[in-house]
Amino acid sequence: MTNEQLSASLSYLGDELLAECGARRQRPKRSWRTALIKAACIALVLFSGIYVAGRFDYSLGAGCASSPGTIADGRYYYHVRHSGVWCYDPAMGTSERVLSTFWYDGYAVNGYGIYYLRGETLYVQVHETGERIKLYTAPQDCTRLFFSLLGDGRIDVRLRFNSYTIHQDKVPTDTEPNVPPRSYNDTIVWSEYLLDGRTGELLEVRQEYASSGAGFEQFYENTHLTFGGYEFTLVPSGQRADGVALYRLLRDGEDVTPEGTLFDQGFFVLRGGQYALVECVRGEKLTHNMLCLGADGSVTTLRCPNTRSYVAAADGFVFYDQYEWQLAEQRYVGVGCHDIATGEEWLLTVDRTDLTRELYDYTTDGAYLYACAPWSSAHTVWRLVSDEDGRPAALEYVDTVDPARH
Amino acid sequence: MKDEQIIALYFARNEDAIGETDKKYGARLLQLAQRILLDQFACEEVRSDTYLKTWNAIPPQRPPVFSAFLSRLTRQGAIDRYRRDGAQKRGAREYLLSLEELGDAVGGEADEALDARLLAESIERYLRTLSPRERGVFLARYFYVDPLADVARQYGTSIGAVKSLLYRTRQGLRAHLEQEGFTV
Repeated sequence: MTNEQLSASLSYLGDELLAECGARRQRPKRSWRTALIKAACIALVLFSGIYVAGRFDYSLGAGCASSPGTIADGRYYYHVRHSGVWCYDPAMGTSERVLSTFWYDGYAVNGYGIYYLRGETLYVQVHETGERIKLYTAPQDCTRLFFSLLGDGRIDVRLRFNSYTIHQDKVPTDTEPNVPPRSYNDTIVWSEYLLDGRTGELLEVRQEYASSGAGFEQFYENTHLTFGGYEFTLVPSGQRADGVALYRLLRDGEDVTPEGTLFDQGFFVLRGGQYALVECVRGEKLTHNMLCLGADGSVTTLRCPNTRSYVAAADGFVFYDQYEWQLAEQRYVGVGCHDIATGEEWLLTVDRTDLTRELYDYTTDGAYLYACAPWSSAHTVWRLVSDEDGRPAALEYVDTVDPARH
Repeated sequence: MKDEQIIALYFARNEDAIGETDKKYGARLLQLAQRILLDQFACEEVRSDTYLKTWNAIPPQRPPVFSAFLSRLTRQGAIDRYRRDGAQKRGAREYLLSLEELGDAVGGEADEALDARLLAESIERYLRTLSPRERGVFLARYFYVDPLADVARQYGTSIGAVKSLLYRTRQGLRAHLEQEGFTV
């Protein structure tokens, strides 16, 4: 039995048992100190409300858990809660705020600009000019707007509509309580459009008000990947016994699916944006292999044992977290590097004298690697040091960017 | 709105049932999902799936404790999603830490034949042997995935005391499961 199995089984505990604990969680201990702090906060909000209402640029501090940012044109863009999007220049060792936002509704960066949401409207702030352009506004009945930047400059926008229109022929009554419910689809429906990344012009209607049941078109970015001028597509090829769709892989229309292999999930783009993975299945089972697709059109096979987790890739090398089993416990070993061309693998040398520099999640452009951990606000900057053959051999610590100090 | 009134809406097949559920429990369910999954989009999907499963289940079910019923569905959905993500799983910190702690109690190979419900019944028998405080701390940490600091605050004690209590209960759980014939 594994710890995951034990944890999962707790979901089958009885409601009465859970209720004992749940009741306590609903009744936090109150104290005069808490009441006083709350009163002070309310007063502060009332006092400062008019002061900040007319302003756009302001900072109310940061310091929440971080996730990796994005590297564009050699600069590292990252989000600081209640402040906005900041940009770190490794050549200068400095950070500056490039977009001021209080509410985080989502953002993404590419070489053209910073794309961000404000409610249900999508904007882009162009790097070169600083100009802010409204690209798209969702209709009023849209519950939530999502977007992704595609590798060719287009944008995939997805609109979710929460809809509770469930119909039934008969309603349960006292004399007939067990009326079988009528079959129906999901209560959520989606629309999806492809837009021009610079003007917001509508390029393609993928689907409108579609419920995520049978016949639902997979989101575009799950089955289409365009980078480096190549287009990779997952096309339907039957389904498993449990109804999950299976796919074959095409590259510019050519079938590049390894023999005996299919795919049951979409593309997973590795941090760095130059490579993507897609998991291979054979029959009903995972094969512990993945295909690695490159912006150079390459298609290679990566092993994926359960002691490894692929994270980022750049310039022909994939970086992963390596674990090992020690006395029935899985322990982190370090950052590994896989040479896509030769298949060779090795661990990078990392200075671990300061264990607060976590490498939990990271992104890279081949020159620098930017790392962070969900429980820390800081991002650490590392230089990738190569050996005489030009292969990454070590991570050299450069700097720490701590949004809590912004 | 009281739970009994919300459940009555489900029995009447009134669509307001879901809206009222979301109003009363939505934030809490989302928080539970966020303790397990890193991806915000996935957390919201898990919460939406919970509403769908609740609509499917009621009637004929009439959960005696509606909040626990919803929490169970959300937790199950989040863990299923976490496990389904395969080699690229990125769980939220608290869930990963709680898994690491549970490694004290068990640390063997995956048992494909393990019946999760039978295991849960055994765990419940063990938890019933504990004091209400010990039971509550265990569930707060490993079912609701509350951070240690939150658990300490709920029970008016220190983080160190919570850690010690959890360690003892995990050791006790291990002994209990071995006694009941589970391979740990």
